[in-house]
Amino acid sequence: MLTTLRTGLTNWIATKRGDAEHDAADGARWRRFGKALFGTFIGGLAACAAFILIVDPYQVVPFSPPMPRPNIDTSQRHFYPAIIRHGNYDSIIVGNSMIRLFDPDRLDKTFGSRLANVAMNAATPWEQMQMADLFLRVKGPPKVMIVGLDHWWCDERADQPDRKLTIRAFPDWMFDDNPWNDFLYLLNGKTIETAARIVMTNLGHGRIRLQPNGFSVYTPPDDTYDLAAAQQRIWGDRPHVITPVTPPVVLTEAERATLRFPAQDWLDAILNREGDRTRTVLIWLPTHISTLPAPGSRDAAVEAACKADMDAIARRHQATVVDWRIDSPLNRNDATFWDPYHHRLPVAQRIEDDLAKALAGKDAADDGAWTVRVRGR
Amino acid sequence: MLFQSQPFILIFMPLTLAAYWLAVSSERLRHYALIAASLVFYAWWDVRFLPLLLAQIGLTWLLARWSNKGRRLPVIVLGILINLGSLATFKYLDFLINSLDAITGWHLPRSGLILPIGISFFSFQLISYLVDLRRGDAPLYPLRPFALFVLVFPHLIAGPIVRHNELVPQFSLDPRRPGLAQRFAIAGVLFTLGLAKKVLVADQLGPVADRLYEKATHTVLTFGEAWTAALAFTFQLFLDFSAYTEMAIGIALMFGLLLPENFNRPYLATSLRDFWRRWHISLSNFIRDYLYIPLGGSRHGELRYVWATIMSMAICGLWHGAGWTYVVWGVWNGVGLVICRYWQRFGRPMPVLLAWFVTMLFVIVGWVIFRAVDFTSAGSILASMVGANGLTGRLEAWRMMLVATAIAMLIPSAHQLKERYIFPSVPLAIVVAVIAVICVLEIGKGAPTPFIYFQF
Repeated sequence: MLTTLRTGLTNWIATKRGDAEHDAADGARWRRFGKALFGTFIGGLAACAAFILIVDPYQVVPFSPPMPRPNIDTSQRHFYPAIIRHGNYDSIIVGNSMIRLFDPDRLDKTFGSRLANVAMNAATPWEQMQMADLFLRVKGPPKVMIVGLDHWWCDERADQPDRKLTIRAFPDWMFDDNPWNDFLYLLNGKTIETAARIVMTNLGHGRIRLQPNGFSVYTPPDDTYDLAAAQQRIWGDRPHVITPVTPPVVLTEAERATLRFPAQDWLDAILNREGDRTRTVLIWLPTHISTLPAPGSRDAAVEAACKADMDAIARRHQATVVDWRIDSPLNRNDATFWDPYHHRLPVAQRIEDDLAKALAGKDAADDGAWTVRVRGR
Repeated sequence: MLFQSQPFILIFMPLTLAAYWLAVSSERLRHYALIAASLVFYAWWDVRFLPLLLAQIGLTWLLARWSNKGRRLPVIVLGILINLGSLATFKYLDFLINSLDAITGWHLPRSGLILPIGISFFSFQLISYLVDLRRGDAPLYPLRPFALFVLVFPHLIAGPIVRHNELVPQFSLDPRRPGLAQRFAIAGVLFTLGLAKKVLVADQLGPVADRLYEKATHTVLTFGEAWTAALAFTFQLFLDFSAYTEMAIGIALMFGLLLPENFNRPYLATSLRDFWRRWHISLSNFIRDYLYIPLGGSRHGELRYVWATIMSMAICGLWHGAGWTYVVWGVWNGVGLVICRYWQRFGRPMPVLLAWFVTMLFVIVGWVIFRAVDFTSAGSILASMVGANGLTGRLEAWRMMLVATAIAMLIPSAHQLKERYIFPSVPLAIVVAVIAVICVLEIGKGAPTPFIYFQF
């Protein structure tokens, strides 16, 4: 049967080609074929390009017509540069998903600012500093800058290519000062899909995922929280215990001298450019006790050294450092977290409230959840 | 510049075609247009590579002319040595030093030379020309067509390996000769077919294979993972390389040039000899004409035949990459070819399906050795494939592999498509164009994945 099919198909094609050869004197049928092929290709691409340039989902096209461009996508790396360039914000929150639940509207009451939360999922310190750098170039020194810190800021390999970026595409072309090179990166299926979703949203058929200030609650509704499921994500099948290392590791002076935390140099450079008017708050974010280095381990000693170095940078720039990344009842409580790294919305709201108290002069939480390591301006 | 990139498709090709076709009435001018475009294409990777390429072309041409004025043999040998020396220095020097270190325990300094892209391909073409000159099978060409024969960008980086007498005579043919519309239309279809195979299938299987081959360097794979790794790479390599070839043939056709065939559904082969007649045909022909036959071929006794076959395939392996895994892969195939020949002489042919199965199994095992970063991980994967570590795990990405299987089995070779299967139907043209648009939008999403054979 396969042979019959094949023979049939071959004969049919041969007939078609025979027809073509019949009037091959002018090649009319091949010319029509070519015109259809190249015409559809060029026309299709031109239509796609026109659609992208008109809708301009990332607000990078200098001549795109005015229209609402809601943040409909969770690709923060692509949407946040527009918030900085075109939004009316004088302050920023940078970090990764661990600080994305910080609500700028609530924090504005504490700081008297207009904050945008431009923290990106799984953002590396290098990516976070690109966002801060963009703000400094476009808007000048911010009124307030809040930086969410985690273990990646203590990564000794943070400046290696595989640590500066993630598998998520980082659109560095959006972060430079040349709007015209952006065209080289816009013609793709992802941009078309995003543009189409913006059009659908404007027509009332889509969902706005990010508020204009970048904030969104990305965790599931808190009333659906399931402690057992969270514990499974946190502990897996391991026993729920933290075993200290004894005797505790103490770094020698020589070992201490060889430690380097490249990400801190980038932050230092950004704070250098801020000048005297910026109020900078560096927050070591809460994380489940199981993700902290085991007490007494070498990693714990390295992290202590990292925090000390960060304190020194903060003192140099009169920044405040608040530390939630400690062994505390909050971090020992599984119910604080959805998974090992991500706290729940009420916890974020507590941090926001406690931040006001810390800035007002309180040095530590009553329940030991945080301490002020360095007090800045 | 990669064929499957927007700068190539949307900027380089339209500009090059425009320049070529504006100059089409003058043979000299259109050649210069193509040479200039090829130099830009090559320099796009790294302009530092350009002097080496130009020097090899220039020296080979000069020596060829010099050989015509007497002392033919020494001059030609010098030309071959210059090209082999360049290849040895840039591709194999650090490999040799590494091997010496491993044997002697020394710690010799590394050259640190970067590998100029395509050096294996253009060096082989220049050598083949000199050998043909010595044999009296090649004329002396003027510099322009000679340079164009090596440089013409569709085949410059990864073939098909073209012999001078296949290409140079085509340069003087008028690209406007009858059949222009047909050639152009077919070129568009072939290019799109290659683009789709590369972007939509091969590049989807690549990460699966990469992840598992990397994992095998530090972890024992399960039965399912080992077979996934082996099959994913088997399909990725074929789709990636045949896609490149189809795109190359398509691009060349837009300039009125026909490049030779390179793949003819190799995974339908029912013997290893059949496989090598269908896989990387231009290389197989090269190996046959310039290695296997000079080494003795099959006409000087059995021992000489075995030696010539295994040695040719070992060199073929080494040509692919500076590493012992490639050499062993070559020897594996050489031994397989010898066994295959004697089995065929034995006169007891296997049932077709069994023959196909045995051939594919042999080829797949070969690809595991070819792809693995070292013998330890190759051995580990092969052990897992025979169930030495249990029969757990499942085949991943099997849907994509089914698609790959269908493509590998059903889509004829580029020349067969050109000669027999592409017909002038407007609906077909529109379907092809829409696929091309989808591919262009897909490649715009991020940095394109280079073709596997670009590293050779």
